Amino acid sequence: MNSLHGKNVVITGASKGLGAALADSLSARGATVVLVARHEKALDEVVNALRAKGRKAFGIPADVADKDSTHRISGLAAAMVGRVDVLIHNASTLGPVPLRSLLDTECEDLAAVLETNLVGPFRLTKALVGPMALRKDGTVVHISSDAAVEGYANWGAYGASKAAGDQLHRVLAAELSAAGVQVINVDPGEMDTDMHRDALPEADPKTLKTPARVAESIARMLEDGALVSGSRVAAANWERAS
Amino acid sequence: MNALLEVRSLTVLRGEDPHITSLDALPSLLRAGDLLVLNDAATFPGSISFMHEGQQLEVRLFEKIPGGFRAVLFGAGDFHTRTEDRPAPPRLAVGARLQLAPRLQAMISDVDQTSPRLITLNFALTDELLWRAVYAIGKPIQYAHQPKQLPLWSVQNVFSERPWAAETPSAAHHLTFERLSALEKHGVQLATLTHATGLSSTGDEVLDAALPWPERYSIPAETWRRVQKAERVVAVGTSVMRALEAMGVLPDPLPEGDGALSGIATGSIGPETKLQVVDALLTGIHVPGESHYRLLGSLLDEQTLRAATDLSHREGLRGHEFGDVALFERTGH
Repeated sequence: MNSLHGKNVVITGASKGLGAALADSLSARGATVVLVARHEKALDEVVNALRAKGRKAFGIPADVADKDSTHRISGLAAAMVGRVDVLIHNASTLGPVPLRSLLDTECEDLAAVLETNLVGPFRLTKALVGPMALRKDGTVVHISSDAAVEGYANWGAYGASKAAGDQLHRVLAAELSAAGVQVINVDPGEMDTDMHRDALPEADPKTLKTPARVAESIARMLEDGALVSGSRVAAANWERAS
Repeated sequence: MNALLEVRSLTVLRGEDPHITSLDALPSLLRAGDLLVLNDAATFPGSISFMHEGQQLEVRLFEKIPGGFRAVLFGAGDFHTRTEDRPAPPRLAVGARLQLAPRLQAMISDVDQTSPRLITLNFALTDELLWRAVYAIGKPIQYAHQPKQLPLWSVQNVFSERPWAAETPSAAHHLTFERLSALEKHGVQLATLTHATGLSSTGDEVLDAALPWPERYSIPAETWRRVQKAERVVAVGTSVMRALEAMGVLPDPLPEGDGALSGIATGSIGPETKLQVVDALLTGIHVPGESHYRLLGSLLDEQTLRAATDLSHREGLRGHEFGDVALFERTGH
């Protein structure tokens, strides 16, 4: 993809952290953004702040882990913007914190993490990518993590969900290669977010990147015409040299 | 494939007798250069049950208009009762307020002259908040032949996009991503339009006699260009046929700013209709007495249509929106 101007982008988990920062970075480039988040009040505040800056933004209060929300999200997104050009799976959960070792992780907690981080995005992909495939144009971004690749102690549920998410999107890329739909797994790197504080409360925020900085990198990544569908990339590759 | 899951197609191609094939044989029934036109309207949850002056009523929203919806009121009960057997709703006047949900109030801004049940609802909400509310409380519109409430996902097609349909454009229900890919590999082209399919039945004699009602459509300029170049145009569903034929009789259609040709399909298609655009139709199994059955008369002569209907009956093809399909190519003209 080249210009984001005039593109319609759906971002999940968009009421704070990287999701809200992506909505800001992409709408600043002329994209219309549809923000999905569980908490209506926080969501509307982010949407209103974007509108106050003259951006085109809409909000859909929904939980991606809720099966019945899938076609509510896709239907509302299309009601608000028409076609969806880019889908960014950003919403995810760590499960209960403080993080625990796998032997102390409840089975139900693992299932709930998979529901939010893997099955929910899968359902939303099914609902939103069909029209992209028919148009031979569209992009799906899965926000992953280095926990998908490394065996970090206590990151089992989250890491497994992200590894499975990477593979799901790698297969999706292969299946949609003829349909002109690009699918990318992105490792955003360590960021100063609520999620990071929940996982590693003792980390020094000064050593972490801001979500705004990572969102800018991802925006530049989306504008990069050389991006290869099916690849797993680090957002830092598109960081502007300072 | 499991015989129970196999979808059969009642097929009538030009110069051939009616016969039954598997839907999976569709690529071999079509030719490279054929254009399959799909209705990409998503189905919104337009059925809302609410209490009004101590009575349980239902309203079926069928058309989005600026500031609100056009809708039909139903009396007590729900989809489990056939629409013809539902009691009439109370007569409501312009200005009446309906509390559809604790935080959703509508005002009746118009009552149609043909039937007091056909109303226009206005909402003091932005479109964004109105759509949110409809998706929060509405259920898919459905009929008594389906005993369980249909979930929203079950009334969508794999390529559904804008929520313009009050009832699902069901002809494409069996066109999975794999089946569409197989058609493309065979050289069949795919294109879309959006047609706002409305209600198929209200149980009100006056209203039902006027079905199908005027329905809006939007045809991307690119789709229309390909329609004009295609060897054969295959409409998937009666809604696509209605939109293409409505556009086909316009003198010189010009795209609007967004590159789409929009209009309202008003006509009813029947044996007397001389088709301008559509060469073949992929649709559900329709039986005599349905308004869609009359439409089939525009494609097949009376004798062929009767033979196809007899064959369908003998072989027990399944009607309704999730049943078998029919592929009819225009015989005459």
